[in-house]
Amino acid sequence: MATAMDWERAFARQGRADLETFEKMQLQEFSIPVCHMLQFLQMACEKLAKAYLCGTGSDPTVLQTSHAYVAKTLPIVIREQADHVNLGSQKTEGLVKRARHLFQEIEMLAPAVKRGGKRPDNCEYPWADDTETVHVPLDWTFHPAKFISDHAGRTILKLVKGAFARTLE
Amino acid sequence: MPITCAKCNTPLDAQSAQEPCPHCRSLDRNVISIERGVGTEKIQAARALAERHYLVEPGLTHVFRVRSSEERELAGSEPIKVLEVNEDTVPAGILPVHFGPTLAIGVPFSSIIIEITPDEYEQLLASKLKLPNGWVIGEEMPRPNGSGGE
Repeated sequence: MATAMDWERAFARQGRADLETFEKMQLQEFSIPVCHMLQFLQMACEKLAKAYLCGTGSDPTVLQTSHAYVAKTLPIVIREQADHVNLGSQKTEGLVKRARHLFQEIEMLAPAVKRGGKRPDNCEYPWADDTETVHVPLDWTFHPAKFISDHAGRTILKLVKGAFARTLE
Repeated sequence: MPITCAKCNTPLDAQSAQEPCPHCRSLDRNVISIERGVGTEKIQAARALAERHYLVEPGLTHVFRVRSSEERELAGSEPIKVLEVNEDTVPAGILPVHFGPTLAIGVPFSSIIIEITPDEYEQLLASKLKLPNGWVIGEEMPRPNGSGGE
């Protein structure tokens, strides 16, 4: 029977590959739509959250029924990873605050996460707003794309990479 | 903490503890005293963890130890478990997150963090939410001076 550690490593390996794909897409010379790049980032974050939850013995089959684990779990993972690399209190406080906001937005990139219908925007399927205007992810401006491009965002992504590495040590 | 003979209390080093006591020939050892040492180290590590989190999380209102059975808690392999009530987290139920030791902040044990909103904490107290694995809420970890909060 598969152990909690088997599942933890499995989610971490697949998630790290998602993150590496996201990074490679950013380096491409030809243009890749932001929504497609962010889809890989969302998938990577979701699997990182699930890897850490599997580490405590959470049932992987239950975890696979939802996408809504990123906003709650990953800020804690980032905080612990910042301590692991001895980042310092002041930097950690600022990054964790930023991470809470960023991961709430990343969680909402999954089409199934709609926050009670208030946030139908997602990076995969078209949706209609209150005025019945149809929006397409290709044309939408996603907040996380802006957040991850500044210094704090890049540091958070480095900590995400470190957190994947830590689960696979 | 030194190992002692459980019968005559003679101090023993790690090697002689595996052989009959040179005084009374007993093979019983005072293991409990060693385990209590682990318990004390865990309390200190849990406090270090809580202090660190109060320092970097302005929304943190309470940190509690979470305990399993006394026997399990005395084992070095059992992670330190803490429940954090945080105004800045999102409501998503009880999601324990597991981490390895973080030596940089004085935590030589693995740890499990459960973060909940103040509303989820009320639900936990009212038994509308439950901790897994028979865990129970233990003592509150003190907030360090100068970390803000209530």
